[in-house]
Amino acid sequence: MSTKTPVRAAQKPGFRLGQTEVVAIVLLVILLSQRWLLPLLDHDLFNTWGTIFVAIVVQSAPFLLGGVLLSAVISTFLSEKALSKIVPKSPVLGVPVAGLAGIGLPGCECAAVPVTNSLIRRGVAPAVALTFLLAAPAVNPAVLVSTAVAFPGQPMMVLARFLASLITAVAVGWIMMARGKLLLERLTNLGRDVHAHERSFLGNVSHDFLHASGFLVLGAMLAAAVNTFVPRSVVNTVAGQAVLGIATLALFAFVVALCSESDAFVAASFTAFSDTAKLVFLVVGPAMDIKLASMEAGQFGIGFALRFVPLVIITAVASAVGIGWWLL
Amino acid sequence: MTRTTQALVVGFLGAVLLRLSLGDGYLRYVTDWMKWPLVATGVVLLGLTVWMLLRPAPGDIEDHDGHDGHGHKVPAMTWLALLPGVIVFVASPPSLGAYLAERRAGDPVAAAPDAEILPLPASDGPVDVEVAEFMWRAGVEDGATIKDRDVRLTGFVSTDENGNWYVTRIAIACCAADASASRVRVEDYDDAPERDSWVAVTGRWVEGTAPGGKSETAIEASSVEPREAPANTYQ
Repeated sequence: MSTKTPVRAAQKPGFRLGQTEVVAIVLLVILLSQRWLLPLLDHDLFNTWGTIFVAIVVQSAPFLLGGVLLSAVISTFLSEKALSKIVPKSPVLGVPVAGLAGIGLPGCECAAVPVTNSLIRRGVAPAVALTFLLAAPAVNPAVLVSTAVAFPGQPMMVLARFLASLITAVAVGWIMMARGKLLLERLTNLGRDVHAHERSFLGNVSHDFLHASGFLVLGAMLAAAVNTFVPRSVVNTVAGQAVLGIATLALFAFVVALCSESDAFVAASFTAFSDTAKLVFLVVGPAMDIKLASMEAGQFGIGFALRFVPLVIITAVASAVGIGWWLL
Repeated sequence: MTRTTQALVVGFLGAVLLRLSLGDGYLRYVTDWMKWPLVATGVVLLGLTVWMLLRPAPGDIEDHDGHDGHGHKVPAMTWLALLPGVIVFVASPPSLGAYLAERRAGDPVAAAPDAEILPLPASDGPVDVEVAEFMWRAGVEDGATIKDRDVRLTGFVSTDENGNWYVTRIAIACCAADASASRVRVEDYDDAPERDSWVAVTGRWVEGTAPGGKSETAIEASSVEPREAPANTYQ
């Protein structure tokens, strides 16, 4: 769809409608016909979905742009030499360092995906970059503070979330190194965008933004649909069972895709669940959700996402249950 | 997707964010502190659009493999980036209201703040109390801090299948995706105002009603006045 029209349009300027003109005209018609279209779509369910969908996109947009700008700085200005000085040579050591480095990037998970991609482009070992991807949205101060606010009088919840998230990120990094050689190689090849260092800074910004935004929107559409169409009471029906409760909240964290800065408030409202189940919700959500899975499939390929997503979820659940059993 | 269309996609998203954040529109979706990050994002995206339109065509750049210049191809999924803007302009999704509140009505609310509950300020007239605060005050010490006090609750109207109506507020922590509803049943006032309209309900707490108790939190209304919806409908 993207290659035919421009060539023809370029050959016969003025005679054919190029893709740009078609898109511009469609947008213009939609904008002008707003008054007539509006009543047709005035339906509670659609409106609620629309509000939540737009809300997720609007909330994520500044973070995505911030992540893209940072990743363009890494791709354009940071030489592999400079980066290799910061990141330990041995990936075995680099993984925990990357996990702790996540403390320094207060932003939501949408920012972390392009940054991770640019780190791989710049020759950082993929396992190290992926650990950073998992740690950054989960262990930064903004998330920990909001957790403390949402769970007043339960400081152990904050500590448990920090430890369980960090352990998840580091464990996934090490597991990928030990077992995922093929997967990591594919990632290295995929990530080696030969053009990245040739592009200008703005070229990298626009390239990365265009590559990530569509997948972010897809993730937001799905998350908004779950949020709108699945009543929370369905989740609450299994609160009494320990194992089922944990599995349900892990699944719910994946599909509802809340920002890591606000998910603690939702977790706190699951009053019927055990604290361990709430911790699972808080650890799985920032590490992996439907929005992240969509962006990772776009950035690293579907084959990679199909293996990486379950690995992260299982590790996160195991880590949260372990820490929850120990601390909560 | 052609290079110019790519610029259009980025520019459209930037324009939508700018339009939402310069008015009150963004308050339907996110909290008020997001205003300036959104303005900045819109400005940067529009600037990026100008650069994308002005940058040299692929033919002008030295091309290694003979076909389209690099940075040209984007995934088909990028078309979806037009969707949020189209929905904002076409459907203009409103603030979450009675529909969501009614669906979330049965959800448990988070625990009351741990801090010591201060008494309501002394006053001759009714005291303004937030709906959520009224609910947790009702649940603490058998409602001692609101017992026999005239209070005024402001919120929108939601209903249930039994013909009751409620003064309702929705709280968001980050964006509308994490919305939670709190609502107080209005008693002794049969003429329910229009659903989703804003009202100020003056009255007294119905003793014994509290969240999670036998009967949901209720107020015995002495007066109900219509109100303009505030710019920011969330708490």
